[in-house]
Amino acid sequence: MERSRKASPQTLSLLAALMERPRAWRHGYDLSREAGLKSGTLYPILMRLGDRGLLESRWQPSPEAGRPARHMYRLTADGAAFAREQLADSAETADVIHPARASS
Amino acid sequence: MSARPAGRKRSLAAAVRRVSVAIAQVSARLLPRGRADWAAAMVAEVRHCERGRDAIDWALGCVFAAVKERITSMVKGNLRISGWVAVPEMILCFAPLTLACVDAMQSLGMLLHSRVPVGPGDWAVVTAMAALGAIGPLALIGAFRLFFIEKPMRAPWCRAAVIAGPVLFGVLLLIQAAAGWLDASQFDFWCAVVLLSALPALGAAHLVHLSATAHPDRAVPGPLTHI
Repeated sequence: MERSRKASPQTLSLLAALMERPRAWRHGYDLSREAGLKSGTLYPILMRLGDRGLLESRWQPSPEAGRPARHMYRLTADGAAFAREQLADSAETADVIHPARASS
Repeated sequence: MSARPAGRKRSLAAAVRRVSVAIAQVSARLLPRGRADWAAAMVAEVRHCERGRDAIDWALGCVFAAVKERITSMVKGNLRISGWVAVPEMILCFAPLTLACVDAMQSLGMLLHSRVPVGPGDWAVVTAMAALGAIGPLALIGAFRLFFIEKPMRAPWCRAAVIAGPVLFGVLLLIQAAAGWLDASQFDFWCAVVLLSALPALGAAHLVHLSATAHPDRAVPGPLTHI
């Protein structure tokens, strides 16, 4: 895979949150809280990652009656490799962003 | 706690939730068609927020994300915009021309009832301005038909008229300036050229472009009135 340009601190926060449980499907609200991002920042990043084939999504019916299905997300294999590379780069440059502290 | 305050609290929470869903649906209207899945995801996620305030915050963030996404798609050259953006744009483009049309019609009425003899040149100018200005309200009707009931402007003569009208209106203003009837050195004159000719012509070109296909580029299909 070609080397990508450096991700933004917000993207790094999201990637770190997704890499906490790389194979688990996560919903937006959960990711938002874990990455410390507001929905206005979270969705554009998720869309970009999806456009680049780094993120996969699916609809999951809600276990609670009367609630709509949720859109769930997780990194693809390429996405996980991208996340590892970006997080390693940020660690190398001492630019580690703690997910909970990252501002949206 | 008595039953009444608890019931009031519940109804307030339900109202807040309804407002947050309505806000999230605005974001669904702003997103381009290619983002339909994301629009549905945003609205669904709002319904899962635990507290009313979180739901409002989430929904407002979704609107912000949708606006960013819409701007990105427009910057990339996609002129097919949401009805929520297009309606104010059309009002901005055609309202001044509509007002000018009303003004020209009033002038025409005054000329008809005038006791002072009026030259044929004055008659011609005022009549031409009233006729060309009529493109303003007609284009507004065309825009509202397109965005609210999804009836595009199909007739070629209609498309040609909405573009030609403002252009000819501008030409008429310039002719009057050349003839010395209007002062081209005045700022007001150039405001009139922009508001009554350039802006409506651009709006008309956009309206014709949007009419090229039956459906506006919105993530949520159907008329704008159906939320």
